[in-house]
Amino acid sequence: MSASVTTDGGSVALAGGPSSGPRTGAVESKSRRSRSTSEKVALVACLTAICVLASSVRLFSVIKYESVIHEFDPYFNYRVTKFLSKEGFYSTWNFFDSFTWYPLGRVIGGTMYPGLIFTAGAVWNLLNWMHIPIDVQEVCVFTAPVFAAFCALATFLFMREVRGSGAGLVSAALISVVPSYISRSVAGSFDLEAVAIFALMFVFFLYVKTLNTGSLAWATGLFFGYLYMVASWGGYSFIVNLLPIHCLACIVFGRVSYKLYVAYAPFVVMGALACMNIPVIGFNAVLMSEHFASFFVFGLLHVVLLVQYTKKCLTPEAFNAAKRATLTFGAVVASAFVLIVVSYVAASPTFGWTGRSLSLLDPTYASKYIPIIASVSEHQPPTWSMYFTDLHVAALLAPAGLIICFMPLTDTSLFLALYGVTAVYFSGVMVRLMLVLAPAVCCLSGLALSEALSYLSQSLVVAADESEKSRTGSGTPAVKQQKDESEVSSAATPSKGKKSGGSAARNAEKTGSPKTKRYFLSIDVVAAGFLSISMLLAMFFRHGVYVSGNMYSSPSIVMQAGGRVIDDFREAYAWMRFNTPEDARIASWWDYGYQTTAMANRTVLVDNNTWNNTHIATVGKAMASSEKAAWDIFESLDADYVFVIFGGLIGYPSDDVNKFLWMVRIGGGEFPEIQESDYLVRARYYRYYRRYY
Amino acid sequence: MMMMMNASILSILLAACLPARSAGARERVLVLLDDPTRARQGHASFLGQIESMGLDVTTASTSDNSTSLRGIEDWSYDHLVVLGAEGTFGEGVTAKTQLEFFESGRNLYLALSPSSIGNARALAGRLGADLEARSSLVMDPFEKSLPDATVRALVDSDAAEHMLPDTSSDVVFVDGVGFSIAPEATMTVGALHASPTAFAAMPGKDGAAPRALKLGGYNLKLAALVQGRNNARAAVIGSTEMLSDAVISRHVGNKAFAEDSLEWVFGQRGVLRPSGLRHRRVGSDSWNPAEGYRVKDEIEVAIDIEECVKSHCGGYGGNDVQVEMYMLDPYVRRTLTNTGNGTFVARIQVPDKYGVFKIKVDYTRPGLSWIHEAEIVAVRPFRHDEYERFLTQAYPYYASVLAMVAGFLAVSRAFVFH
Repeated sequence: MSASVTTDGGSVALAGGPSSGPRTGAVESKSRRSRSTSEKVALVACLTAICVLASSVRLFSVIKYESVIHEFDPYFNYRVTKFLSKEGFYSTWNFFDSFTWYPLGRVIGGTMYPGLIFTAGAVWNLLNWMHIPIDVQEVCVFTAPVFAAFCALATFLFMREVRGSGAGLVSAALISVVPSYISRSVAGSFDLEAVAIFALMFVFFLYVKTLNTGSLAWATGLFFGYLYMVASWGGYSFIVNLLPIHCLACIVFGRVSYKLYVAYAPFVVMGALACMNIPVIGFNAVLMSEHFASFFVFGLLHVVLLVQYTKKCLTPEAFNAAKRATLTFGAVVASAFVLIVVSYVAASPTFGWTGRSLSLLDPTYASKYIPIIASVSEHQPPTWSMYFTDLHVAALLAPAGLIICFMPLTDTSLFLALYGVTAVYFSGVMVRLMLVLAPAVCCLSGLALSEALSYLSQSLVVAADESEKSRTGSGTPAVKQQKDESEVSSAATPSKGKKSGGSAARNAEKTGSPKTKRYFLSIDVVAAGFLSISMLLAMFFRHGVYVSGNMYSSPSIVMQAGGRVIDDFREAYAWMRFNTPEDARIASWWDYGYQTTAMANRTVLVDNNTWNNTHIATVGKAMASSEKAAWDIFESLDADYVFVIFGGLIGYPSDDVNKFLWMVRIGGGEFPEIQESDYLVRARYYRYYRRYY
Repeated sequence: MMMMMNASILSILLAACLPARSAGARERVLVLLDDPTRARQGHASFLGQIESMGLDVTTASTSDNSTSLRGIEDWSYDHLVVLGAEGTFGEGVTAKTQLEFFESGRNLYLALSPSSIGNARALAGRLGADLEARSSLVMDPFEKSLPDATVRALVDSDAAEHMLPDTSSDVVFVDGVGFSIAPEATMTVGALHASPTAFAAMPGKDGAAPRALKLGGYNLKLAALVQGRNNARAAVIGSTEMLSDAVISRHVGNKAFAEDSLEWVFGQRGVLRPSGLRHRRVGSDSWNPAEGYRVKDEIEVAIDIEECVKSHCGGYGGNDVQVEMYMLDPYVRRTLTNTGNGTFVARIQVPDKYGVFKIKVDYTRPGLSWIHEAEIVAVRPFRHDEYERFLTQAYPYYASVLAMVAGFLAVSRAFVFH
């Protein structure tokens, strides 16, 4: 990898640098062609290796356990994919599921993000069309590893646009084994994130590509990429806020160009339309506060362009006069608006603060005060140790990458920097968003590493040249000086891809003036540098593989303890499938809803799609009540069976006893007669019955 | 051979499914008497009444250990009559067995006396009748026309219509024990209660004046009828003497009460048999579509209800049967129209709310068999292509879009060609 970085950086400098002019033409171009061919071969080989690594490191779960769907949510996706493979696209789009949320039912087609399911369905159809008979389950199990490879490719493309192939390759290599991403994309983890992270990186790639080229064709591509992202994951709201932030930063830093306009403006309009076509979002695309930033910046961009245009048309005096008039008028309107808002806020008893606006200001609001959100472990804020487990050295190198983004600052590196900073912020809110941080950290640390490697290699080349020259003694000082300058310019743009023209090259030319003198390292320092970086990377990869094999590959429905495989969950579901009537309604805590419908094929009252808080709270109330009261509640809900998990005998920690307090809290959220304090004993213990006074 | 075995298995299954009313074979009734020979003389007309009902009657002594309610695999009898219960129950007919007999859907006729044993009293208690203390009496010192320990019994209004239609007046309650109906016994209906001046009392020792107990008048029940959730029926009567030949021959009301209560308990009156709750989209031919309905569909619901009187069944004549579409709460409730031959129909518009609905007929009238019939249907929302394509109120928006397109083309043309 380091070799390819070196060749790439070097060749660009030699081929594209302005100082290579006086060199002899024919020989140079010939060597350039052969060099670029070998470079391409190396690139493809590296990428292939990265893809193979990314996929194969995620197969531990299949090898250690079996080809089985993991966890809870993937079972829902699996079930709908099965439905899709049987009933077809339109039936799935209109899928009304009477097996879940009895008796309310759930409009699956209108409440799911269909991207993952339609992807898996399409793959299954394709394989069947090619006469490769394969079970839907296998397709679902292996979707995540395959898309991890795609994600590595998308990361490569993204970083190539930002800083060139070298940075791209290192970033792709890092993201292929970064534990945070592995945790949600091992084989069998058929969750939305499996394809969504790929879609996220691909959208970023398309955006920076459009930003670099200013081509409407890529803007169209961006629209389709964004459509896929929106269809895949609720995390699209990260994109729809990050892109406006970037655009705003460009406006503030005076970087408005037609390219930015082409990249941003169609995205806002068409992107909103794309959102509205996904039923689960629908009109939220223009109603919810998450989307307002993009519209606001859209308007601002037009205002800025209008101002620029007016400035160009008017004389300076006229422009100043117009500016003064507009500002005065604007100030009057703004003060009137502020007055109205203030009086409105003062009139309302809560001073206009709703839970929603509070949660906007304080992102931890929901996880603190809404028990159903707080009860999910992946909604807790992460601990510091998680950053190290999930990101390893990438977390340490990322700040260096952030600095590299500013030397030189381009539109694209600004985007990367903003992505990194916002992702760090959001990852602090809940564990789940570590997943968004992982690619950012990989890109930033990939940038830092590639820069470091590039610099070391440059030093190596210079050192080799020096020793050669001192041996032959042929080079005159003037020639040597010129040569040094050429290396300087190459070091300043060490890994700029051939296609990524634009401001990066211009900046590089400016900084590469003869006055700057770049110092290179001696050969033993270079060796030490290479050694330490290789050790760092070796540790990272070893950690990634270790974590993938030992921590994140457990399917959670099959457990291993003390060398024994505990398959009680599947046994329980099989019992239900064979021993209960087909129309039996099974009441359980919502965690087991998806698995019960998928594996036991029975109707459940509540499931992991927590769309109806009242219904879940009713079940929580029943669980928290005495048997007699619970009987009446379950009767009114028409439940035939109650399914509870007890792990006390084998020491399984996440059973219903452990979740009991959450049942009380969630039940109490809707039914005030349930008070958590009634179940607490001396603040540290709790019990399963209520204390009556 | 195989066929025969199948048939016999089938008959067993049928017997299990339709315990009290299996077609064909005569229903079997076991009558338990404290002293069969003496009782035959004292209660000949009551026992004759049972025999005249077309039943297969077996009489046995209460304390006879060789009599058993249970057969090898199933119950041996469909009905049980206990008269007196002043001696211990035999091993095969313990109070526990009798309760299980009732809970299996079979019928129980319990006529007790003030000196009935504790087990029998406990059994009555399980049926909702809290008997007064042992050896207590029901008396009415103000009623001079009747002998001591004899009171006038009045028919409860709940029981009058379907349970005791022919029992009108002139019912007397002789030498019996009264009781109250436990408030939580919602399935127990008082049949007879004491006249307003009657009350329960403990007889005084050694000729002392009797001591009045708390119950009296309407609250002092003398007979109660029970219909379980499984439609099993039972009667608890506080006196055996009121069914004796001597009383029946003198009081016409007592004879009518004996007949009415026996007929009702043995399921020869007030039995409703629902069948075929069905529904379909209006205009469709197939009933009970598996795919369910869409919101706002017009559907029709129908159910057949038969009423059986003494093994003769015909269409039920009531017109207050209702159907509900129910999802946690009832969304639609309609009274079904009786077409005359026992078929009840209604047209319903499916509510504008998707979910899994129960189309259910709950018909609970005192004295008639409960009807709890339900069909589960899924109601789905509109499909994406079932909405209107063009909305009238949106025409201004369509116009604005067209104007926008035209304007864009015009401006583009001006920009490109001028």
